[in-house]
Amino acid sequence: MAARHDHVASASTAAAEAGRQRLFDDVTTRCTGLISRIALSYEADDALRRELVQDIMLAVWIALPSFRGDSSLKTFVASIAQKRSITHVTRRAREPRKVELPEDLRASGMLPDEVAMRNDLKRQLVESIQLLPLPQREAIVLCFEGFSYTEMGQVLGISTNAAMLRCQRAKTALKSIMEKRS
Amino acid sequence: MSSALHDLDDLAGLWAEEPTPEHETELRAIAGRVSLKGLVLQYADLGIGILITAMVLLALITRPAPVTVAVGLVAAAGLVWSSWKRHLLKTQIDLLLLTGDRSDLLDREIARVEAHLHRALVALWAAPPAVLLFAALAYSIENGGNLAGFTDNLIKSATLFPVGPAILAAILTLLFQQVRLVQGLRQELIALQILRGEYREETRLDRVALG
Repeated sequence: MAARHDHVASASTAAAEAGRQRLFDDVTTRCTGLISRIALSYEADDALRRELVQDIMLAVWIALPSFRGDSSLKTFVASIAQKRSITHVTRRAREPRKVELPEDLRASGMLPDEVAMRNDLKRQLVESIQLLPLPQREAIVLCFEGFSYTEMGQVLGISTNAAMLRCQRAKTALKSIMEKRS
Repeated sequence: MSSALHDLDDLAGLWAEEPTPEHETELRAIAGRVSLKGLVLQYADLGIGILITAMVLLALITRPAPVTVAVGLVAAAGLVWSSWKRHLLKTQIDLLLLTGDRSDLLDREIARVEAHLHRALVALWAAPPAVLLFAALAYSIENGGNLAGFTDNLIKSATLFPVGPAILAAILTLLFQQVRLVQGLRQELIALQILRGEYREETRLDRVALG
């Protein structure tokens, strides 16, 4: 009886691990861009950003068994990524450093002049996002990633209306920062 | 900057560009390493428990006796049980931290840093008297319980090249590291408290706007 119970338990553990791996493969296929961009909004240093991306992926891997499908996988991943990034930012406060973003944030399929201009614009955008207070930074990134207000509310742990308001405040603040910088 | 790019759709388009193929490959490589690292982290406690149990069992097999077998088996069972409990607890904490809401996350982080800071401060203040006590104890043992001339001996030992200065330098380095740790933890705590303030302010603004 006990042996049979153990066998059932180990089979269900194996099935859970297989399910987790399947979901993680899905994350790898669909959400790496999202994870990378969320990390970019919190960390300017290239090497530290790679570490943050790895930490986020590890956090997602750890949290995947709690994914019940109440929200989309993308929403779940964004939520984990934001929280992991918040703890990253506060731990980085121990040794603050000012780091310039790399020149080549993006360079594909365009003329060199267009690439240079777009890179410059993107760098300004990223730097401006990094200057926003964290609650607004979270909101604007989710907004740019195309999340609905309901999904944003799920990720941020606030109501849909509050998500909409926070996003509007974040947009206003971002525009103001970008105008000052330009 | 062009005013057209201040339009949110343009900014969103600029932001949400997919990674370049090289970056995508790099991200997938990171993801590939994560599964294995996750498994190792998740089951490390349990693995150590099993390893110790295996060593206890090996010792019992090589020197079998009824009493040692009984004690060894109880110890092994206790180890496996405590490792499994720790593993469950760690998993629960990880999940809670990753899936709880923002205020929970910040409150827990603040409590963690405060506890760490408290321990670091205690260690910092306790270290110099502990070193002196240890030196006094060693001197007392050497001199049959007599502490006369301890201060002179301490100064002499500290200046006795090269061992004295080397030990002094090691102690000072450790103290310096501890001071840096305390400073870092204080900065982290301040950052967390500022962050909690920012979230509270956003929540207040939401409430005001929503009536």
